[in-house]
Amino acid sequence: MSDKKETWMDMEDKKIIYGQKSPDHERKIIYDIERCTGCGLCVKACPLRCIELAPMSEVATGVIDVPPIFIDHTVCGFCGICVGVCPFHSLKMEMDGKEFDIESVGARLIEDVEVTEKCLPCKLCAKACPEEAIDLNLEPIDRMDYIEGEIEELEGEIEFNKDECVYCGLCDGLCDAIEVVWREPTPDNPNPIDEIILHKDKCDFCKVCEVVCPKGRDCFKVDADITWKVKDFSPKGEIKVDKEKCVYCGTCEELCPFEGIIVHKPFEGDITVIEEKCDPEGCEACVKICPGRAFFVPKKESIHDEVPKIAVRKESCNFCGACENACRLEIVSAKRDKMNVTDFPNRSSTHTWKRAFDLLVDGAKPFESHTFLRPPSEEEVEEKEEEIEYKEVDESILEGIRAGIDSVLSELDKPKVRFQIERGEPDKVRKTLEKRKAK
Amino acid sequence: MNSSLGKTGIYICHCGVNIAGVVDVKKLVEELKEELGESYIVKDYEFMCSDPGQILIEDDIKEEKLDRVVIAACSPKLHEPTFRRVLAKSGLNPYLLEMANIREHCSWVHMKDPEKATKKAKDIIKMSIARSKLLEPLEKKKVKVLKSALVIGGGIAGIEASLNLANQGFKVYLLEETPSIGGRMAQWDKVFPTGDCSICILGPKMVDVHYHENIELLTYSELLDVEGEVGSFRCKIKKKTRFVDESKCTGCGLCSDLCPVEVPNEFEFGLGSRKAIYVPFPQAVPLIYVIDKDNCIGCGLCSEVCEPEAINYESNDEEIEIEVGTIIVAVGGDPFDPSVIKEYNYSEYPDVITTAELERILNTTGPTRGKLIRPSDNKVPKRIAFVQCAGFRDDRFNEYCSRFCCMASLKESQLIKEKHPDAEIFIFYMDIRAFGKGYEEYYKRIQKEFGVKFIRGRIAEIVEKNGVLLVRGEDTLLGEPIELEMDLVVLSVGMVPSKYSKKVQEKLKLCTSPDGFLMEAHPKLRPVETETEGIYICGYAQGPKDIQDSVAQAAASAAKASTLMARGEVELEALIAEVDQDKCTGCKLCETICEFNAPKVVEKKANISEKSCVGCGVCVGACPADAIKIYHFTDEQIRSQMHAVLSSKREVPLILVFACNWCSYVGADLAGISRYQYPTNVRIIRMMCSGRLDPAFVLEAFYLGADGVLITGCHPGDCHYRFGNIHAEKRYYALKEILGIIGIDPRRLRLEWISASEGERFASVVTDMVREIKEIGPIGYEFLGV
Repeated sequence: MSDKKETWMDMEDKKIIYGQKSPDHERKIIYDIERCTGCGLCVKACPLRCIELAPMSEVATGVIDVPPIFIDHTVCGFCGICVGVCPFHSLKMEMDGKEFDIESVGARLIEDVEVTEKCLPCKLCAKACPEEAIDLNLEPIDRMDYIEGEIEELEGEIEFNKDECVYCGLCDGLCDAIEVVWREPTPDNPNPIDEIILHKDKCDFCKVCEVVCPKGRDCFKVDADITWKVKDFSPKGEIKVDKEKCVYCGTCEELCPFEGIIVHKPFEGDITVIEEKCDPEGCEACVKICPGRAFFVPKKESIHDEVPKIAVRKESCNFCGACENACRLEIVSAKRDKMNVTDFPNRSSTHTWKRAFDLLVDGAKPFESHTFLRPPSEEEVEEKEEEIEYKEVDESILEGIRAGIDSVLSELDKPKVRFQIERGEPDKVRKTLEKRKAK
Repeated sequence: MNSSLGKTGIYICHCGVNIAGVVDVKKLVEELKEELGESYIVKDYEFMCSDPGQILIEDDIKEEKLDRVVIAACSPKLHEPTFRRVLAKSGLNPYLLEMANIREHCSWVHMKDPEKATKKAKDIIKMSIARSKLLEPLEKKKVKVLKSALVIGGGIAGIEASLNLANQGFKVYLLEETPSIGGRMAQWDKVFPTGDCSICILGPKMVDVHYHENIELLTYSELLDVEGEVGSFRCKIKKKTRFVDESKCTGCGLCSDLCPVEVPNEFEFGLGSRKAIYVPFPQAVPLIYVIDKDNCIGCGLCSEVCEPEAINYESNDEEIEIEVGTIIVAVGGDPFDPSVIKEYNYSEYPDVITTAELERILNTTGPTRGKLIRPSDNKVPKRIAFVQCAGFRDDRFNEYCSRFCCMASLKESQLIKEKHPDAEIFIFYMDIRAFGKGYEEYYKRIQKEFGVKFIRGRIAEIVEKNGVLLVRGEDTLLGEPIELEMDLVVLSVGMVPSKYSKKVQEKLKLCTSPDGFLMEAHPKLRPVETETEGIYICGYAQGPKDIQDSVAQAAASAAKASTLMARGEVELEALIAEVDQDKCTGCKLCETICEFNAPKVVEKKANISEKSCVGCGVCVGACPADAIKIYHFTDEQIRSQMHAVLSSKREVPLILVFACNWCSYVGADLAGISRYQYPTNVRIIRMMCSGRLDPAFVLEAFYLGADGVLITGCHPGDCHYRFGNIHAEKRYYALKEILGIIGIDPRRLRLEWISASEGERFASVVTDMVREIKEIGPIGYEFLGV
């Protein structure tokens, strides 16, 4: 390994920071454990295969408490592919303290939530969101604001047509006659309104409900000869989606009666479960792990009911596959047919990035790990050079050597000696020279 | 003597941090400026080989009227041709350039001792300055280029054909799909029957190709389309982007060190790894890194360490068009993949390998650095089986005989036996086909000398039982079934037509024979011509053959191509020997020892034929009268280097190394490229051949105070001038005697054979010799009685 880079791992709040210092930059991958569902898309996409997935069935059921993924920072290349494929923004990358623009080198999944002009807004999506990612800022309605004149006691009729009601909840708190019964959304029923009850005896026939209700008289029908005027109504306020919190499950879009919110999921696909193979006790790992609360255990209305052991609602699924990893029986399958991804810039790494993303949807060739033949390890002995102090060699000795060499050098001018050398006769060379020396 | 009268320019290259990170270049410049005085210009620059670096020299030559240029930078093997061109461009004879190798021979091998490395670098530069003063302008006899050829495939056949044509003066475009030329031969460890180190004899040819002024190397390039006909083929070629600027990359390899992506190296048949930014092997030509876009993850680390800023992640492939008169196809072959032979379980058992893979395991630059180990457990195998004809002469796979596999197995057996005499080797064969010159003799030698056991019979199956490989078959000579336990089984595979063959064949509309090889016009009488005039084939692409046949056929195809192209001028080597008639005594020693019959003694005076002389200098080193001079490596030039370093000995002990240009000098370069560290106590003097060594040089070295002398050359049999190294060896033995007579400890003189692939060996030889000389003490210690 090169000594030009250094890597480390740190823990900060509920985040793990993986860092790398190279000659020019400091890169960080910030892993938000709480946002991670263990879908394992990063594990599939990592070209260096340095991300390990925890045993997700144990994590999902709470048997063990570990972060769903672990990155080997000594192997990690800090390329950002894992950040690009994470549908939950649980991985982020920073370079030199600033958020790194992944799209400048590669791509990221496209996922978005759009609040359209058709949004009233009402209270439905915010109450139904499994991640509390929708912030509702709706002005409370005071029905008196919409009445011109004085309410007088009079005779009348009011009808509430349940079949026409869209259960938007706008009428909640409008008057004592209308009672909206809220409920905690459950996976099998994400609707936050249980029912709307009309207490006819408490109605004063003000007719404000007719203007407040988006369905108007089709839903609330008040017949009375009123002496006051009812002003036009439009709800005031807005809804805001925290895109960091959003898991793009699509529940809000499903529930919105007005096409007022549209979810662009990162994937298109299908989710299936072989319910008959499901453990009757029900580990409910899928139910617990799913960020969109798409799984549920159907309840029996009576003991004679035959209901499936487990069920899933595709509408609330973003096809991340966390359930697949969490299911120890391997009976859940999240199939991703298509993905939405930003354009890949044309770079040396484009091929690898494309392959990494392709691995999320179809059978692209997975990145392999390899073993290589390496030289048998030899103990590297760090030898510290020892400076040897040599005694001064007397100049007279060197003179002697030079004289000796001089006498031989002149012999090298003799063809006889040189022939002996080139013939490979060192003995003869020695004898010839010794003879001369003797002379 | 035509020594320098004018100014000398000395340029020290930083090579980014490659040199300047270890050697204190600024200090060197200051010291040299102070010591050298007025008639010298001393400058340093970040990258001398870059355009601004070259312009700096050009300007100085013109403005300061330089008549000698010394460049202290990388190995002359890398950039001497570059800087010679700079001199020529500026009107200075290119032979007046001297390069001081302070990178491969200094900064890269003494990374932990900057102080001593700086001292050594100064010595190296001073040696070069001294030598430069005595350099003489030389003229190459020029040839004119009239027409051009495209050679497809950069293996030995393509290289040989290219050199053949280029040396005749034709413009050659050598197209190679992979990042480096060298082909299959570059992967083999040794070649049969001579046992030459493969890359040592191929490497110089690769370098010749790279720097040949008539050859344009198009590596990492692909043939897209060919139009036209003989005399004018218009070829569209895609130069795939390396994402590394070829003009900026210095081949330092820092990028590769830092790259986090490790993938199987195709060059090592996947046994070893490489990075996503890489050169396939250390001796790659060109030595320019390439980003493999199939594996780059875009982390950006490589560009952070690239000092010359050569990396551009957004660069694109380039399309070029060239026009050539003739085309030679030399796309070679690929080793057969034996995983289809189910009964041999090649994909199943890691210890069933191929002969091609074994070559890499035996190679010192291979994944195990030449240590024979088996893949499953990294242990040294004791019982090794070679299974001949694996997938060949077999109707199910390849009907033909691949012709080289018998010899390859014999050679590999020898290599194993030399390293592990106790290894037991069994060769299972149908017939041993040792049909070439000297092959049968080699076969016999392997049997007798190395005790390799030959068993006749095709192996029926290879199975594993309790972790031991069992080889089952029938000994057809004894008519009995056999079952032997083995540690390693080597499938002797031949080659099939290269994967590029079909593509090229389609583009050029050539014919193939049923086995997939390219079809010649007539198997007997027109073996290298195709049906298309102006297109020739050679090497393995035409049919199974070994290296010597490929080389011969390449030459034949070049000859055929050149007969079509108009004849131009041919270039003759400038480095030849010449006799000083006044000094010659007519002793005839030169005539006796020359392998090339270049010297002839007429009327007591020798004369050397310009045409025959190859410039090895063996006669020069032998001449008693010092009457023969070899250009560019004269006695005076070499002596000046010794004097320069020994006149003020700055390190004790100090060892002079004489290294031959083809093997040992390159081996020393490879030690640098591979960063094998060794002590600083050596100074290297380059000669064309170890046979150039005059025994007087050695004595003179000791006279001047050297503490040791190391003579290095090619391994016996590898000499580029046949037997130059053998002459060096004879002189070495005589000198040992002579030193004894004088009283100098003979251990102060060593002779070592170091091939171009033995970088590690160079480092270990030097380390060991320095250790020994340290024990003996400085010269003269033997007289002190300590």
